[in-house]
Amino acid sequence: MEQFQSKFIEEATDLIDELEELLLETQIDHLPEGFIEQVFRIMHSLKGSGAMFGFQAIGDFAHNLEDMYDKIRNDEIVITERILDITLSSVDLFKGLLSSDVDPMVAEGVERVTKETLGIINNEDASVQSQARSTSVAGKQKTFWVEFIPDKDIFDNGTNPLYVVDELTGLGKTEVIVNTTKIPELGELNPTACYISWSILMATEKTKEEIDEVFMFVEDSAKISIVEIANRNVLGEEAVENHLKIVKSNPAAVNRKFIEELIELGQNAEKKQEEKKIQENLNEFNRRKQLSSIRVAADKIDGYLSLVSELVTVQTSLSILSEKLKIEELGRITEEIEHLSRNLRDNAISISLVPFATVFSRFQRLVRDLSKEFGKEIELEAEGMDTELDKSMIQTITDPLMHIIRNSIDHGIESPQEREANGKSKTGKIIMRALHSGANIVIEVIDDGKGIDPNKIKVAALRKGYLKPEVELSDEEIVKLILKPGFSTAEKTTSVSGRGVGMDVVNQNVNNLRGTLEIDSELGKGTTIRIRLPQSLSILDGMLVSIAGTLFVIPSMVLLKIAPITRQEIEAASNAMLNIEGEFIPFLNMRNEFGLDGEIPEREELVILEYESTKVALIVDQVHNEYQIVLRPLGKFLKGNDLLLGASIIGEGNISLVLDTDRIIKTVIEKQRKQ
Amino acid sequence: MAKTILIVDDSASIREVVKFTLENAGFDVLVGVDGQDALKFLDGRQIHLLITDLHMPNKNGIELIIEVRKTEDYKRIPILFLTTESQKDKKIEAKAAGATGWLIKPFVPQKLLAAINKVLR
Repeated sequence: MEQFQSKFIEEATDLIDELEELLLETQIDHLPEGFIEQVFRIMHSLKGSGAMFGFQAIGDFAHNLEDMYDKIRNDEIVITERILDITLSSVDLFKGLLSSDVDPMVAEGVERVTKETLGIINNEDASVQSQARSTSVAGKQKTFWVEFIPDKDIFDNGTNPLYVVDELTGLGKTEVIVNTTKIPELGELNPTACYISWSILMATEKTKEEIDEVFMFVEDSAKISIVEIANRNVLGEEAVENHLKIVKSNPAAVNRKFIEELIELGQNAEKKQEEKKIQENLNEFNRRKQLSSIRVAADKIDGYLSLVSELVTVQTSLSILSEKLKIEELGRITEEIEHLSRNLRDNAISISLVPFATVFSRFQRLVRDLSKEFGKEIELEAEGMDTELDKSMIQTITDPLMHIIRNSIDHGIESPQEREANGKSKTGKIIMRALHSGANIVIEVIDDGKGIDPNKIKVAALRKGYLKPEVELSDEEIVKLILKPGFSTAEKTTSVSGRGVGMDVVNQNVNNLRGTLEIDSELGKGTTIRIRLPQSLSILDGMLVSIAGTLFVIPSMVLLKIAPITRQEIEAASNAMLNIEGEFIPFLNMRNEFGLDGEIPEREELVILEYESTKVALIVDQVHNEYQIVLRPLGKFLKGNDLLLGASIIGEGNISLVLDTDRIIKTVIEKQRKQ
Repeated sequence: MAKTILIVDDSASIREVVKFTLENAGFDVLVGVDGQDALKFLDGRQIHLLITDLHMPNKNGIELIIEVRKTEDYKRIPILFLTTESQKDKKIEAKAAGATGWLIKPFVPQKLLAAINKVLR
């Protein structure tokens, strides 16, 4: 059962996400095509499988919502803003109900929403009652033209033709035309004779045979004809109604031609309807085609990735062995394996990457909810939503991003009045942008709010002891203080910010992902928060180098070139800059950085890195070869080292240390600036 | 007020079943064992419907209908045949005699009530 339950949770989560996404792009005056059907289907699925897998509360909750949407699609209830709101609030409640330990707040919310839903279903709220009820179209209705012309002596057999007509009108929706034109002058009238006949246009789910059965006792004493006009309900359609007017004013005009024209009208409209349906089906088909994909459990992908990692490790050993043995044939095969495993690695990584757009709806939702709460008008813009990130990373980064957006809404974007007073547009704007930058993914959250006031930060920092009065800092550095643990300047505590869980926590979370966080803020103009993350990369290409016998890996992505360098050249370097082909490049002697001893070779190698048009040179003893490496976490002895990304096993169990080139470059640049 | 139905059949079991069905549906039921016996009910009391078998001793169904249609009080009441007979000429004969409808035995209670509903409201 448990395995089914986890399957259900996965499935339900997808459904709920789908529902949320659907609702967020929905406005009451502009419902997307098939919206109601889709919501109905989601509720239906949640109801069915919820009850089946022991999530009774979900089943019950979805049941009522399903009922409501059933009525909406049958035109018994008109969809309103309120119904959309109710549905949207159900999204969070469903999520809450999925957890093994349901929060009492969730239970309360479910109860409230259920009550409201039932109210709507039972038409307690007049505002949602439909006037369109009469136009409701049920499933398999057909329209018939029924003529009933009793013989004059029908009364003689104890038959009352009115009963027949009465029964006919009970079969469906009818338009009854009574022909009384045959009633003679009073002098010629036989009081026991029947002079009346009926024509009935009838929309019903009954078959022709069932209609025929109504006439079972009168079939010998009346003229009866039943003609199918259309295989749906055409009553109320303008063309049909207009045509009916002819015989309504003159029942005697019912003749063959009239009926033939009626059939034509019914079927013309039918054709149009059919064409429309075909088009709809086509659209649906195309939509599905675009979404063509399969679902794979996350742990299967993890398993695949780890197998690929193993393979890459073994392949690297093979490459090293092959280099050592220098057997031509082995070399060729090794090269091929290297090529294949590289492709396999790229493929594995691409599978675990998901576009940023998959989480974007959560931010839309947040902006929508919070701007309502704060009475602010905010537009959220997305850029580069197809930028791909590792799926686990995207999950981890979502929370910090939510927090950044909260801050923007709460502290950044001003109220509409304030904005107008400052000559800004009433509606504030938050841009969320994702892009590739070198080996990194950059995510920016840009708002056009009031910016961060360095003076306010300074005052708070002094008060809280984050800053000593005698220390002079630039505005930029002061703003950076908000990343310090425990720092928060919120003037009043709101539900979303000012709880002391501020940018410092965000910063920490980003760092845990081997990422960095920057703040650009201009007072009165706005704030940009920039997060840099490695794309995924538990597997990467790297250049193996050695320093005093220790192996290091430099990620190839930032590698610009390699050049030999002599001791004299290094010693001649001034101001920590090396003159390389006429260009002064700051450098770092890795031997010193890592405190490695050992003999210094006469000729060393210079590895030049380039990162966002900044060049940095690293001095190492020897450059070996380029390999694919699998990044492993560092042991506790090295964990504190800022310049390392992780470790990797190369060859026959040799450990190599993977350099964090981003951090190295930054360190060098900072050092440079201080000088 | 409940409507009154006169049933006429020479088979005791059919009479019982029909009576039971009709009484359950809220009708008052009079029972005649053959055509002759049925005539005793035509004493001016209100009868809303007559259901009769075709083949009966003493007076058969057709003969009974002809008698009924002659009376002033009952000449327009609906009359249904309930019979195993389904020959076309018998039906025509019955119709000519003044029958309103024709039901074939054996019957399902709902069908019987539905048929009654066609002639009696």
